[in-house]
Amino acid sequence: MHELSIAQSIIERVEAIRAEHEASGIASVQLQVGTLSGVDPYALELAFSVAVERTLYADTRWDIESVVARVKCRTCGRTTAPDGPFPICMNCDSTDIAIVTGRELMIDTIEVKQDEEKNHV
Amino acid sequence: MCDECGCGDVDHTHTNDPSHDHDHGHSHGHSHGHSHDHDEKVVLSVREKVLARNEELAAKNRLWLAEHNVTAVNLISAPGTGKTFLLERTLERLQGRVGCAVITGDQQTDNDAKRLAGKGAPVRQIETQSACHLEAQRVGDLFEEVIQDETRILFIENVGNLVCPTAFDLGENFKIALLSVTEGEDKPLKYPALFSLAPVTIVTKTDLLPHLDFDMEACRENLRKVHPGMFVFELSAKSGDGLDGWIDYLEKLG
Repeated sequence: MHELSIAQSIIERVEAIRAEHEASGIASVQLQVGTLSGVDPYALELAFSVAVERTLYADTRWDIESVVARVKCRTCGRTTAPDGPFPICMNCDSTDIAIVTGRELMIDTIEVKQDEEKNHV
Repeated sequence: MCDECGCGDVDHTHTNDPSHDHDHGHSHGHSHGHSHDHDEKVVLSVREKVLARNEELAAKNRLWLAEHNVTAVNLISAPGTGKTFLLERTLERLQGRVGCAVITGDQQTDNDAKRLAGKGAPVRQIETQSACHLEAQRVGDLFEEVIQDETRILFIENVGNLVCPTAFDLGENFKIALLSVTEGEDKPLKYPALFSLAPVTIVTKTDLLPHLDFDMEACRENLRKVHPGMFVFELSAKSGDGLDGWIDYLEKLG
């Protein structure tokens, strides 16, 4: 359940970005989680529901986009999307591959709320 | 949905002029002037790794270790695989030959540190409390305490957990996965994240093999499937079988 500390790191980073932009709150955060990142999107969602309690982010929407694994094969040169939990080439079954996508664990975009009062006098 | 007027069209803008035209196909009156209590939203592109902070600290640890000529290995396995027992035997064998230091992590208690004490290597315990893994900061904070001039190898014994510690770089040179024969030969397939990252696996408790249906060849095949070129040790810290190869390897490392 390292998702909880990951959710907490995300919230800390989001808080820093909110403060930097002097925003009044955060409407939503878009995250990318690769299927090989070792992070379970459902566990992460649950972690957010706990971690945001009694914070400024209780109403923030956490959008978790799953990024499928894609591997480039060093044997046949093809790029394929493995359907199992471990990365192998779907074309020739080789395990000598480089992971192209799937390890992502990223904050993609943040939708900040700017208090309108500040925008017009 | 637009938070200002509640319509379904998000691609429009609102101005503060109450007599403005709506460009989204319906109209409604604004009875208020300037006392808006709602917010404008701005989307910021961040594109930042979630564990960027941990990775930064891990890079700092890695640099510090390199400057002090220390090789650090991050030992990861399920609870009960025998990390601490193997370390006890390892420290005894390396005592007086290779300078060692240990940082060991558990959720609670300093039992492991007590077991590892008095074997010629400084040992520090991290109690992680609720966390199921070690992070770069707490490990790096202990370097000055645990690493001496003669230290060549730092063993970082992670919290017993096959999943979570894998995601957190500590600044080690590499990870070593441990797998006991009682856990089954298909463990590398069930938990590929660790085995695909660790270049070395130690299969422990081989003294129990006569009592089990464990298929060592299938285990090695599974390890290679997840990690081609995986370096595998088979040993029993209890009987001492296979320990020589591991000790030789560490002596070369140090």
